[in-house]
Amino acid sequence: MLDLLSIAILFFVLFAWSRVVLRFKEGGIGFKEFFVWTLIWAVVVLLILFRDRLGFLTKFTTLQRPLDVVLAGSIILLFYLLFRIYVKIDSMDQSVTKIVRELALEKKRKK
Amino acid sequence: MSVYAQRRMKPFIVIAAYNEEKSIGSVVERLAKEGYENVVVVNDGSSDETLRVLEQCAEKYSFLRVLSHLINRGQGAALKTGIDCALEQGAEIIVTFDADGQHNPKEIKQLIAPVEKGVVDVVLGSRFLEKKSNIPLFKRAVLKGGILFTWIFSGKKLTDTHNGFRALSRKAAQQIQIRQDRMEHASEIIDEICKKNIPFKEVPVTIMYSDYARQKGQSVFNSVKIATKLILRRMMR
Repeated sequence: MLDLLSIAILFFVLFAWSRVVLRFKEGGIGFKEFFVWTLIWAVVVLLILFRDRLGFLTKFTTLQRPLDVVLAGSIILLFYLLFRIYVKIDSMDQSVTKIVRELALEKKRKK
Repeated sequence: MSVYAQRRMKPFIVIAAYNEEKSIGSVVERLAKEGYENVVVVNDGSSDETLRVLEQCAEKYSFLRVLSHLINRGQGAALKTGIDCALEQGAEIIVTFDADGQHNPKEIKQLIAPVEKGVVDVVLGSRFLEKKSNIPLFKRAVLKGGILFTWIFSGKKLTDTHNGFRALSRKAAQQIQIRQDRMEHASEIIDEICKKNIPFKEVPVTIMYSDYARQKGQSVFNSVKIATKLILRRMMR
């Protein structure tokens, strides 16, 4: 039997996934991004629906509760995603510099 | 030798200027006084009157080449633009020079001498070699930290790793890739010199610390930020 909090989270997940579907239909994200985000939200749903069966997760760690394992895993994943975002921003920054530099040089060449 | 060829042998002075309306005019004038005819100034998206001052200087001194970044991208990016411009103009020797009046144009001759003679391809100015500069204590500590950091990451022990006064041969300017946009470029240049085994030497230069220059200098926070960015970049390679 699901408690009120679990039901609220499930509704939120449904809402969040509907945004993903909308963005995919509008062409705002590609199929790869749609698939990844669908997978992520599906995992969240499974964790909520089958949380009583997550005891096996604690067998591989020193953590006491399955929820702690899920939280620790989520934090590690978030750090990885942060790093990927940093790399992406850095790459975009370099592209902006390239454009700005080339515009300056091109203007000089035309004089 | 044609006039053009003669001019090409003369050094190109490359300056990156960001919000230097108060000093850039006098820097250009001092260079003109010393007879330098190839001066490239890159206005790095200044929000003050730096560009206007440069345009006025360009009317007075026809040899002055002014380029302008639409938005501020950092000293590293601006120097790279200036160096690329100098290379396109056929420069054989390129000198990077600060826009805030800290460098002495009279010392350019001694800086480029080893490159002119073909002894080395890069000459790095050092304010610590002859102790001519009156370096504030705090600044000295930060710079020594930079020297240690460069020693750890590049394996090269230099006496001054963050001095913008440097001379490059055409070959070195083409070999050295400046990818870092902001102040980290100084460490990156040394990294490139070491990685590509470019012959270099250090030469004593004077850094003039005026109140204006001190105001514009790097803070400790900035130095820590630079070090962190360099470490992260190494991890991403």
